[in-house]
Amino acid sequence: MFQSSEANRIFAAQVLEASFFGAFITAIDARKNETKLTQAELAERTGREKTGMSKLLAGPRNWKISTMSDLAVALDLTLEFALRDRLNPMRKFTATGIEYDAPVSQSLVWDTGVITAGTVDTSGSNLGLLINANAGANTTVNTGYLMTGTGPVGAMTNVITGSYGQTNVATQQRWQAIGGAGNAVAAPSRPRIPSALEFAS
Amino acid sequence: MVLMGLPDAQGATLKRALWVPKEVDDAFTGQAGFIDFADPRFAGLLQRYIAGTYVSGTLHGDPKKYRPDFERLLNIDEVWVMCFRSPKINQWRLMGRFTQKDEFISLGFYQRGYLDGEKKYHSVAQTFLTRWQSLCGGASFLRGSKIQDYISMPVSDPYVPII
Repeated sequence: MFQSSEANRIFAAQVLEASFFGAFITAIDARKNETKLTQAELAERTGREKTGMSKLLAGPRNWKISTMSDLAVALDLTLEFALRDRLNPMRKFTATGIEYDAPVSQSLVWDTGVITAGTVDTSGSNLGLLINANAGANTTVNTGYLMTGTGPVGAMTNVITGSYGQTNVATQQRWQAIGGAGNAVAAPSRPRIPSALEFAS
Repeated sequence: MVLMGLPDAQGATLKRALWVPKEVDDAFTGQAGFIDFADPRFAGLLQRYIAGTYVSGTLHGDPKKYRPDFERLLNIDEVWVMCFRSPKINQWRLMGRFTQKDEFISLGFYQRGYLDGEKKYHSVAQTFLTRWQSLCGGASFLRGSKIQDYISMPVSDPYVPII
């Protein structure tokens, strides 16, 4: 962080404007490829002139909320919003209240749900989605996704950049591993982590 | 060469790589005592590129109208400039090449004023090419036909309509 609050504000605003813009042009690109959406159609759906749409998409700006809402509606998107608490990164504020990430208490049994950045080892748990999480040997995942963590034995259906217990051979054939360890299914690689190029300096 | 890390501000992960000489890294991170690099607008471009959020770039050279973050120089073989356009009174340019998608290797760092004028730009680019040959030898570099060949989404070329 910068020393002055003004610098922090300028930095955060620049990154946020670019984040909104980046998300929307990615969605527009997808819609263009998937549904042959044109600029004229997008302009019409947002109630704008075509030239106005060109300017809007020329680069990041300090968009009004109504601009983002119009674009989201026009593109059949739902805007999701959350404020991550930097003083308590496990917590975030959402439109419907406060949400917490893991760690999940040993006493909790989650029949469904999302567990991020934690460890769960509760016997009989049925976990929906693990991200950066580790599931212990006692945990059973009857369905779900594991992203970047270690998974348990059980009938997991999707493993993305993780590894999992292999004792349940009968279910392994149903698993899909994307960049994960321990599964024979070849799959696309995960987002690239740059290799360390060696150059003479 | 040093792989630039994220500016010490956001907890994002590194998605695009920027390699710079040690002396440039020292400048970026304040080790060299250049106070200019504490500017949030300067760090903002670093953050956006490295963290994988939106940046702009063009293969069409002319930066006069839209001022993209990256521009490929005209009539020079795949030499790119990463443009730190803010603050306006102290603009910097990183000259380099993409060795692969999302991997920008920079060997030169110049103040905008020093590069003023196309002739000077090309003269510096020739120096860059010599340095590239001496440091990187036969290292291959990327040749693309659109900005998305060089930088992963979200990215756009302001001279090419998004839709």
